[in-house]
Amino acid sequence: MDTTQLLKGVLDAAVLAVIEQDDGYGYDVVRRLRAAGLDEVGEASVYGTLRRLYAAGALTTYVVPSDGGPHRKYYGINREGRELLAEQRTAWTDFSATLTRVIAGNPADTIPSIGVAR
Amino acid sequence: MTTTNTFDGGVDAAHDDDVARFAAAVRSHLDDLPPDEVEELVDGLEADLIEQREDSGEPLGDAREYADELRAAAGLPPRDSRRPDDEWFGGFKRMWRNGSAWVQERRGNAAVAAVLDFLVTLRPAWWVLRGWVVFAIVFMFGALGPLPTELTGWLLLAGVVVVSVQWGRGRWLPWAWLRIAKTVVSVVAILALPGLVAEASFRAGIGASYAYDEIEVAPQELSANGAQVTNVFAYDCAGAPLVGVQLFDQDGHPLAVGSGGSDDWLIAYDEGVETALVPNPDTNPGSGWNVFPLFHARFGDGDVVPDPATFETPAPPFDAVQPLAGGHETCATEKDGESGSQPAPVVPESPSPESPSPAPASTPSAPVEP
Repeated sequence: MDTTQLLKGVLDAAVLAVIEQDDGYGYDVVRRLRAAGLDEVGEASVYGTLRRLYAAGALTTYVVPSDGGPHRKYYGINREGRELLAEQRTAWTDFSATLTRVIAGNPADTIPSIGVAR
Repeated sequence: MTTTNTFDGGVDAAHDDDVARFAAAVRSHLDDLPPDEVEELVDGLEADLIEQREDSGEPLGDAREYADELRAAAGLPPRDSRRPDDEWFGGFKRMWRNGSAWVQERRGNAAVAAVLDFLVTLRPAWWVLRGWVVFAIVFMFGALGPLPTELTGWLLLAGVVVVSVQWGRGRWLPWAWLRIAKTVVSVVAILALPGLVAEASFRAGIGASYAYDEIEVAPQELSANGAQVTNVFAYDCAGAPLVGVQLFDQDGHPLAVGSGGSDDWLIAYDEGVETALVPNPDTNPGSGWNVFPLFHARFGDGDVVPDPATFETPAPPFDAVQPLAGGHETCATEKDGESGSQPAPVVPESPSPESPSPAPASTPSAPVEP
């Protein structure tokens, strides 16, 4: 299954969750997502998502000069971002539980688990 | 994307160069967006790209796909669906953007970069030229020279040039349609430029052109007093017509009528009457155009060449002309004592061709012979 397609709908939540742990710049976020197992995540998708979340008011940003190289743009989460993340966590939990049930083919056999579709 | 290491600055420098080129290409793929939005979107991109390369060591990939992904993830509309209202113009803009992005991606080549920088330096000259072209098209059409001759003309030209330069600098374009107008004006100027330059240089060199023409219209045929000479009639010292006289000029060139060698006959017009002239049949083919008089000939029915059977010496304009005083002793053609005594000119009453001897005169006079 092409996980990049699945990822599209939940990338916001994943990015917010990573930023919630610690502030990060674009490629740093990509690296942490990949380290967490999301190998297929595209750099430009993450950068675009950061930009959109910032435009939506869920993130703050600040620029950090780097020694001898181009500056880095860091993102941090704010209150609105945390609220948004909480909403998306709930939505994802419900959704993943439902979908797990549906594709398991046995409505009775419900296994609540939080995880990434594989 | 090519990764040519044209510099000796080491891997880092080459990477930075690649990254800068890639970032520039991404920017140009996003340039339909407002500039501050583009900046927001690609701010910090270089740092991310450098780190990404250090991590993966792989090429950066396709800048357009990258830009599209960035755009989609940021929730911005894809570039093709923007402005569906002006599709035909949007098509040109897309072409232009794709072209400029393509060029940007090739800046890594030192030669390409040098040429591009050179051309960028020339842009102000183009802006001034564009102003002149617009002035020339609008105000100079047909009447004036390449530059105005009056103060008002100069002021108009200055005004047009200033607007063109300001447009080139991205100023004085308060409305979106003015940008379209700018593009249209540029395209028209480029198309009109060759014609205008040719016209302007023609007008500037008009005096010289005339002098040239005078040389070029030098007559190609034998002429006298501006009229074409189609045949020549020679008379000897006794005043009698000659046949088979060969004429040469001061340089030894044949004094030839007609095209002098290639054509077999020549058509002469005299008051609407067509006459075919051919060389004396006793001459070598093609070499007889300076042997006078030329023979007359007629075309047979349906013939495209004169019929040799019709060749004949034409009637001389005068049966005889004045004999030279005292010159009869050296007259090569003098046949008898009667010759060389005709007063001239005498209008012939009947043609007497092929007769090199003096014709019987209508006004006989006493021989000058002692």
